[in-house]
Amino acid sequence: MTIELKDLRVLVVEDSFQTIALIRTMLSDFGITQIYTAKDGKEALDFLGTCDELIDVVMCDWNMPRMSGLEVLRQVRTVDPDMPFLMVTGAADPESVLAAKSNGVTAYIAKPFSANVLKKKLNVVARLLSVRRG
Amino acid sequence: MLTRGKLVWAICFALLLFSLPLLIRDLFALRQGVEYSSGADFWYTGEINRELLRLKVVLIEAKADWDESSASRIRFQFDLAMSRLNTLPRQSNDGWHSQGIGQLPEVAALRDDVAQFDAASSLLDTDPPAYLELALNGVEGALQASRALSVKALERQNGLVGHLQAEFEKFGVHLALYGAGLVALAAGLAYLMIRHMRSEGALRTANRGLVEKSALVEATLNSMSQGLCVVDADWRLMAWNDHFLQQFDVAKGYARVGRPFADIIGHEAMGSGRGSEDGLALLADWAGRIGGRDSHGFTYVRSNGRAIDIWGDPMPKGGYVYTFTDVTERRRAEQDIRESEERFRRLAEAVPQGIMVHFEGRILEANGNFGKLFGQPTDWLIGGDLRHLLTDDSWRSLTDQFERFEEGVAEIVGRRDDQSAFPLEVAWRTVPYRGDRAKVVSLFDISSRKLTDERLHQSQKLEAIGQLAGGVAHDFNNLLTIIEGFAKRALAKAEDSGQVRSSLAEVVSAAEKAAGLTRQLLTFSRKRTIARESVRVSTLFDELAMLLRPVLGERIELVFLPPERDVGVDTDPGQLFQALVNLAINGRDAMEGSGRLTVRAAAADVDETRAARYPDARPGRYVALSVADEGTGIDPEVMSRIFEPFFTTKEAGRGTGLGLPMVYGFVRQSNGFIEIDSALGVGTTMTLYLPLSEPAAVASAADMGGTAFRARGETVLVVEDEDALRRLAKSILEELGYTVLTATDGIDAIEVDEECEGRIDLLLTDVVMPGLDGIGAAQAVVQRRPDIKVVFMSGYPSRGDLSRGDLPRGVPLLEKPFNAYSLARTVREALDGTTGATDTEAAAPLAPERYGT
Repeated sequence: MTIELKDLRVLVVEDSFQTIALIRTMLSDFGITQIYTAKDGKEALDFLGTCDELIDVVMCDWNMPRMSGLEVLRQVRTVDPDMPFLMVTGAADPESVLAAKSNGVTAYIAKPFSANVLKKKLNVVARLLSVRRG
Repeated sequence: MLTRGKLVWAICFALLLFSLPLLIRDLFALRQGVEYSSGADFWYTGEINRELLRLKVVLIEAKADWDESSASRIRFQFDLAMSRLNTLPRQSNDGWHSQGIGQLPEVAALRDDVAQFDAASSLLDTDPPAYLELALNGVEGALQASRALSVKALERQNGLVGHLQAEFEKFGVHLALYGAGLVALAAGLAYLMIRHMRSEGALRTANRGLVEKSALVEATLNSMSQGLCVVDADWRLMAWNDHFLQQFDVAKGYARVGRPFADIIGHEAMGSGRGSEDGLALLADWAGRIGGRDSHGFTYVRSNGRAIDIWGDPMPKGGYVYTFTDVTERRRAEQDIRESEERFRRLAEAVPQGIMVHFEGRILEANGNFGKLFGQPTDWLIGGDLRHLLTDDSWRSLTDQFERFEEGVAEIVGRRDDQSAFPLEVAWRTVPYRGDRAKVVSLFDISSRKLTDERLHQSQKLEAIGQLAGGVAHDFNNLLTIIEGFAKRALAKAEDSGQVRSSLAEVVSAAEKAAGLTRQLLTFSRKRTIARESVRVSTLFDELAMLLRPVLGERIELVFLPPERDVGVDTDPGQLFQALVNLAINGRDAMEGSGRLTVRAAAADVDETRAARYPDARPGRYVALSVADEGTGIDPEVMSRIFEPFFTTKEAGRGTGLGLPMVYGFVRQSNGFIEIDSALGVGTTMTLYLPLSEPAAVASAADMGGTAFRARGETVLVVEDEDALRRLAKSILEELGYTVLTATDGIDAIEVDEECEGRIDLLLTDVVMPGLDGIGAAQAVVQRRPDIKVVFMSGYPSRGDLSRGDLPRGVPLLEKPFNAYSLARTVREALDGTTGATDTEAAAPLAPERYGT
């Protein structure tokens, strides 16, 4: 089963409304129609707790109030070890990368990122899901 | 010769000899005189008188009472009286009287009177009264005559007593003489006896003294702490003490007066196991050390290791007095002291500090490092004035503190022989020294520490700035994402009006430049990840040459000095490239457009000493990559600030102030360090020390099967989560000429594949990996590119043992551990489709369905 980019169902976790708007625009440009947003980690986890089958990939900012992206990743991994998780961050320092990798992050997106970068990362997710779902 | 004593003895004996016969005669005379003077004549006369009186009594009684017995009694008494008369001695028996008393006329008269009785005795029977009358008259006359005789006898007796008195007087004289002789003799004898006794006492005293003296001498000899031995001219033992015997392990009974000294030495020789004949050899050796009649000494080391100092003094009549001092302990103590001194000397020499003893401005003692501090031999400085080794201010300060404090620590400035100044840390303590109070001072050159401190301070400052810059860059990136994203989107959607599009294009361009700056800031603050891999210097130089030549311009002579042997640098190639470009541009700007820029690479071993100069450096093997210009050099005043972000000496608009900070952050993140050598007007050399990649990464062509397995322009993606293995595979494949991409796991492999957009010809992947395993990665890649070749690597010996199930059939499996040859061959054969000597399906195109799930 091949999963195309446009088929992806994306949950965007980001505290900046401007960034959410930008990402939503970019995703729409990729043909993605199923876009969900959460303004912080708690909201995202609540959402995933009720209907994670609606989501193919989580795209999460690192620096957020109340709960960091790393914490969201940890929580997600406790219930779904295979959920593709893209970490978006403005400072991909080695310590953070190592921490995210050890917690099972799927890919890193360093800010500022272009639409092309985002597209490639999501393509990776689509191909990964294609393999996993056979 | 007649001595006084003999004369006395002669007088004594003369007196005795003279007086002794006289005394004997006197004694006889006296005996006789006494005998005769005992009153015999008087006794005789008294007896006669008494018998006459009795007769008178008988007569009177008869007269008064006559009876028939009276006549007989009278006759009896008469006869008795007559017999007394008749028995008077006629011869003198005393020697002094010519006749005896019986011959005296008085006796004759008496006898006559008595004779009248006898004549009348006839009357007794006839006429007793007449007789009685007659007889009484006759008795009365006889009594008178008897009394006269008694008087006569008494007179004779008295004459005899006088004679006896004279004899006694003579006897007394003689006895006195004899007594005197005896006394003299006794006195002489007493004198002799006393003298004898005295002489005996003296002798005893002398003997006792001798014995005591002998014991004293023996005790004295034995109380000596040394051994002592006296030998005569013939080398025979005369005297010794116990120590001597003990020192040579000689039994007491063995040593005796007159024993040849060679025996003792022979004993010693036997103790050493050399046999008794060696005793003479030893003695000869011993004797050979003796300097004739002079005192001599030498040290003899016994076979048991004990050292004995021997000192011999000749005696006037030949022979020697030897003293033996066991100096083993002393030697050992001396040796200990020497060793102790040597240890302390070495200790003093070993300490990194200079150490000196200082008193009143003078250097009394110092160790070797002290001289090294000042660039002069220590011997030259000892005895000299400390003032000449310090700056004037330091000298005044130090002497002031020496006076005020018994001990302390201070930082001063020393002055070397070439007058160059350097910082010193001194610590001192006041100690007794040869009767004075001197200062023991340790001095330590703290130039390096000062420099390190300064660098550490700079490093800490840069760290703080980095934290700040990193935070700013992070926030900036958020904003830039939005600005750039929306600007691009707006640009795409904008109507084709030149004004709006050009404005939006400027916004996008500015956002991209800003993103570039924040990347450099993040690099400086080490907030960027670096993809470490082995970068070959030769490859790096090739790429750098291509890029730099147009950038630097024709007036800059660009020189590359590669290492003698190609080496690898363990770092992020992109960032290294960027760093070298930054340095080259700085060099170009410093030379103001013309000059020579030299890029050099060399392997460098950095030891601890060198590493200690840099706050972040560790000892190890490095590649030193230097960029040297012939520019203006860096002003020392700004040297400490060159790595600060936004600090630039370039004119406005020419520099961002982020070039060197980026280099700094990158090098530090690569576990390296930077060395700067700059001189004003001469130029600057910036050297980046980056870790040398492991030698195992480089394999020889022969190991890889020569040219048979070389690349033909293919690109290989190596997927391996083990860093070292990934680098090894990359290195080998690069050596073979492949373009090699790497990924750390299955998902990373898909990302790389996505990035390179179809350039990959072969996927070389490990099987078991976290996230997405090799089989999944291969599936993902093959789904997109069915013609891609796949080679699995696995540490499991067979396909069936893999945890995820069987590997797809027909896909080559490179078993780990692999070598260069097996890797080269497997990859080449997979690409050529010739795999199948054992697995014929390998050459078939890999289709997604072949992997299954």
